[in-house]
Amino acid sequence: MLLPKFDFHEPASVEEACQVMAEFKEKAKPLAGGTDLMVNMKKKIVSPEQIVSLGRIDTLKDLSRENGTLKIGACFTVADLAVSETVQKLVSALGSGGRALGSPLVRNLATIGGNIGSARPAADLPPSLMAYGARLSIESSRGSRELDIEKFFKGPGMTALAPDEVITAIHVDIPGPGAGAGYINIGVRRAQDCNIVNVASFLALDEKDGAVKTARIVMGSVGPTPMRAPTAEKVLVGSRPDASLFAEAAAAAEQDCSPILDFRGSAEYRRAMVGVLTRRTLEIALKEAQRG
Amino acid sequence: MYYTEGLPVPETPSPGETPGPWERTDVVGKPRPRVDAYERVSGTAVYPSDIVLPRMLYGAILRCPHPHAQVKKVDTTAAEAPPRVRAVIGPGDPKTDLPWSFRDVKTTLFPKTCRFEGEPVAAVAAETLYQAWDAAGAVRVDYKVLPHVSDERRALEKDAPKVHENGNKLKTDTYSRGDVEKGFFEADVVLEQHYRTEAEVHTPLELHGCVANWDGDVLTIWESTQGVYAVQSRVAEVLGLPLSKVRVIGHYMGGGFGSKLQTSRYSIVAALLAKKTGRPVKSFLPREATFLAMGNRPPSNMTLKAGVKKDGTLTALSFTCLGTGGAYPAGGTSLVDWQIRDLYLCPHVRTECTDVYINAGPARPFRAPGHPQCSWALEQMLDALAEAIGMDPVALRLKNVPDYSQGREGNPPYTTTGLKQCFKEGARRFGWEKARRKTAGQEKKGHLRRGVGMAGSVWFVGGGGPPSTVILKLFSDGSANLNMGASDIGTGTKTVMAMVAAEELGLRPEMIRIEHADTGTTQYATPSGGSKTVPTEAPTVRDAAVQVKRRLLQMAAEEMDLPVEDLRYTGDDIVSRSRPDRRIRIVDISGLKRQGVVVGVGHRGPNPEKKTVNPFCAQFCEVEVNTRTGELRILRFLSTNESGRVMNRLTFDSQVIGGVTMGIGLAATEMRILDANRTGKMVNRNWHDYKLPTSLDVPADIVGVPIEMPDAEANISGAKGLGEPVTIPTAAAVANAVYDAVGIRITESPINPLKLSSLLEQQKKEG
Repeated sequence: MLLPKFDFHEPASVEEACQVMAEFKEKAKPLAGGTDLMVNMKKKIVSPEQIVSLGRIDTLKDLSRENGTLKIGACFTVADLAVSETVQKLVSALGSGGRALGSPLVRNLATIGGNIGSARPAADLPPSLMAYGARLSIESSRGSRELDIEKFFKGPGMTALAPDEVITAIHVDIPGPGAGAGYINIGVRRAQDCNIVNVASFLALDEKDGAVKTARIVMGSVGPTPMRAPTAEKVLVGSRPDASLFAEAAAAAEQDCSPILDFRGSAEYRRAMVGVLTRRTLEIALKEAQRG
Repeated sequence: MYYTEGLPVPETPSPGETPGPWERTDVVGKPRPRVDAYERVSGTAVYPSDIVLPRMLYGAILRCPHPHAQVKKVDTTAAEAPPRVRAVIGPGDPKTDLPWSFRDVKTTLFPKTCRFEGEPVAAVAAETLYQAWDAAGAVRVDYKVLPHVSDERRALEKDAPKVHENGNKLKTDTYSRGDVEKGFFEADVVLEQHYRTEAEVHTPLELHGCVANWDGDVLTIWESTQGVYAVQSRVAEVLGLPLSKVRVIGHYMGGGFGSKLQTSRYSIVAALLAKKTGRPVKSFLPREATFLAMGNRPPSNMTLKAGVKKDGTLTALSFTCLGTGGAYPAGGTSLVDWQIRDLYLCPHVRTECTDVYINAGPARPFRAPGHPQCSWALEQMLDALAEAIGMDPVALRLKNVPDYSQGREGNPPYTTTGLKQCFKEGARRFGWEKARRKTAGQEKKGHLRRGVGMAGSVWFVGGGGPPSTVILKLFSDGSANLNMGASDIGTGTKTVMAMVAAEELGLRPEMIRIEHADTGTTQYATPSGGSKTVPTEAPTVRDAAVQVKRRLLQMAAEEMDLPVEDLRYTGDDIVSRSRPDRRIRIVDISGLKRQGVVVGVGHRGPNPEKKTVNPFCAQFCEVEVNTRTGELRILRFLSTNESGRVMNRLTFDSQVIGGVTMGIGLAATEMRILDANRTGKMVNRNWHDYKLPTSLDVPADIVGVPIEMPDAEANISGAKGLGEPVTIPTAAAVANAVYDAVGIRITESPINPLKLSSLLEQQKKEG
């Protein structure tokens, strides 16, 4: 398959990128790795006239820690995410997502910003980012804004991004002591697969009684966007975590999702796996939270 | 000689005498990296896909998007308009819409009725690949979409749409010996079970395609193929050319697994486009088109009824199979029943295989055609019988090992069979009994369950045979050039042949340069397939080396004025047996110096009469099933293979790893999905949705154990085939291990988490 025709822009700064995006708006697409965009262009699913590569903007490739927040540049590669000690130490569930994504070759190209921007319902990074409560820096020539990642996804491939905007960074508040998160995905094979179900869970425990203070469970591949499991979260909050509580939350999560049937898997299987993965990610989150 | 290692060489047989088996070997059988490893790894190896010629055009073939349609009108006006389009060809023009056939069913290059998604409709040649595909996209075709049948299980229903005018049934083959009813009557236990394997697609790394170039009336084709002579003969036939005017070159090729044994329409199309434009044309298929039109291992629907006595004696096997080769005759049930007939001792056997048409791409041979499917049924049945009579699966198989071929006329004995040793040594090395005890005693409460399984197999051919000719040319400095027609399809053929020549001549393998797979300059060979390349070519190369030695001895005898019988070839020199002080260095032989080269012409001798040459295999594996998610982890595999003499210990292991990997694909991940109820189109025509096993789905612990029994009767190299035997029992062994782990017989492939979890759920409900 061949790429359709397009013009290629390679701005060297965010400002320049925003100018190009402002000029072409809907006709332009930012390129932040291309592991999704290029494939869809070859399949003629999308045919943007203007491609705006973000690959030369070095500031988008940084990972930095500011106060209690981890700032990840939109063009930080998934390969780096998968091996970064900082990521593993501070936001391990995101690292798990990175290691689950594609294959080494895909990870070398894919970026965190691209994985968010392409807004695939089965993507590996959004669930843990949502579970951590991440925020996105979004810029355009009109200015910049910050958006809760949860408000970003609107549907498969659809986002809150205006046609002239680009994601420049992802901010994750580093979980304090007594908090932890986990991410697990499942597919037909162990790599390079489209997930059948993926789940991320985040827990913060009360310092005094060890009860669950905050819980965020995010389910992927079971709806048009990654989605929270509100009933399951309610089950957890205020109770002391144990196996039976997690089983109850898992059962609630199964009811929180609305999976579809397609050639990749049945709705029943997806629903059942939401339960299994919710329980397992909660166990990982708890272990991390209790590690102190 | 300059290039010897001082290794002892085998005795040179007198003229007319057949060389005996090698008593010892110093090169053959040792682990040796590929002779072309550097070229392959560095990227300097030129594959057909890499060929670029001056003034070359690019071809593109427009393919039918419907599984069944009439091509009513093809309008190429718009396609001819884009810039730099040099030729457009399509249906109806007698000069380019040439006759084509699948076995005895006739069609054309661009048929009026397309019977599968992906049949060629028109073709273009343009200056760039982009322009070619733009032009192909601009061809306007009026299709009358016809009703389709894309599921072979529905093909024989009364109201099923007809793929061909005379209906959807191609043929039913039957085989029978003894009296199965009597056999079932004598049995203590009779079981019957239905099995199904899904269609698999070869999808080799290098795409199918070629570059065609005319020089006057001589056509040269660089083709990614398993057999250059096979392509030459079909191209010459279709274009009406003498064989001498068609040169097919296929030095390197990036995999085929059987899908590149035959000639495809694209090669003829490229030649026609090149003729029309007077320019070279490169035409490679897009990946999606190879999924549709370049063959598959067809699906098999099998029912097996089997009887056994309490002591493990098999009494009867009754087998039926419904299969399909797709839209044309293509061996839809080819060899599916072979192992039923031949693998285990059984007096009463009946098989019936029905091959039907469906609107899907024609099948092509796929690594051991028919065999892994049959193994899926037979080897699961053997395990079920073993359980029913309370016998160990290995013991049951050992009870029924034949030393002659029951399926062949006259019951010829195998030249060698190591099947028994494969079972025994495999079980010993795997730790079978201990592993079985462990899984039998495991706590059934946990959600992770271990299981072990095994299966055995025989491969229908694998002995090779004539014809084959090679030329071995020894230069005056003692280095050599081996000229053979066979393709190295990635298995290491070139390396093995260099090792054979080296063994016989006492040369270092690096000093042997191989010219191969070119109908213009190399000798005749049949396509590389059927696990016959090594057992066909290795004896031929050995024969050529013996001829070289005989010629050198003759020259030395004349020069030394000694009778030739008195002389012995040692590798470095030629020595008198009676007067060891009289010797001459090979490179000093004046005849060699004068002629510049000594040439040996080798021929493949005949196979033994009234005997059959077959390789055998047994595989053992351990799996872990997650009963909550249905995930299957394959933890380790051991493959014992009796393939005669091991030629290269390193490529032996590579074949084992590759065959097991492919078998795991059949067992657990791969299936062609056709949208049978609605569009009939293939849903998963790419590497993302068609699930080949990745390196994480295959255990790192795959062990190859050769049961080495050099087969002196088979041929003068003692080797039998290996590439196909290693993939036959794999899927069945996995299914048997899954049964051992969770007590569920999975009769339909693939065992993926979706299927396994729903079966586990059902098991839970039924208690």
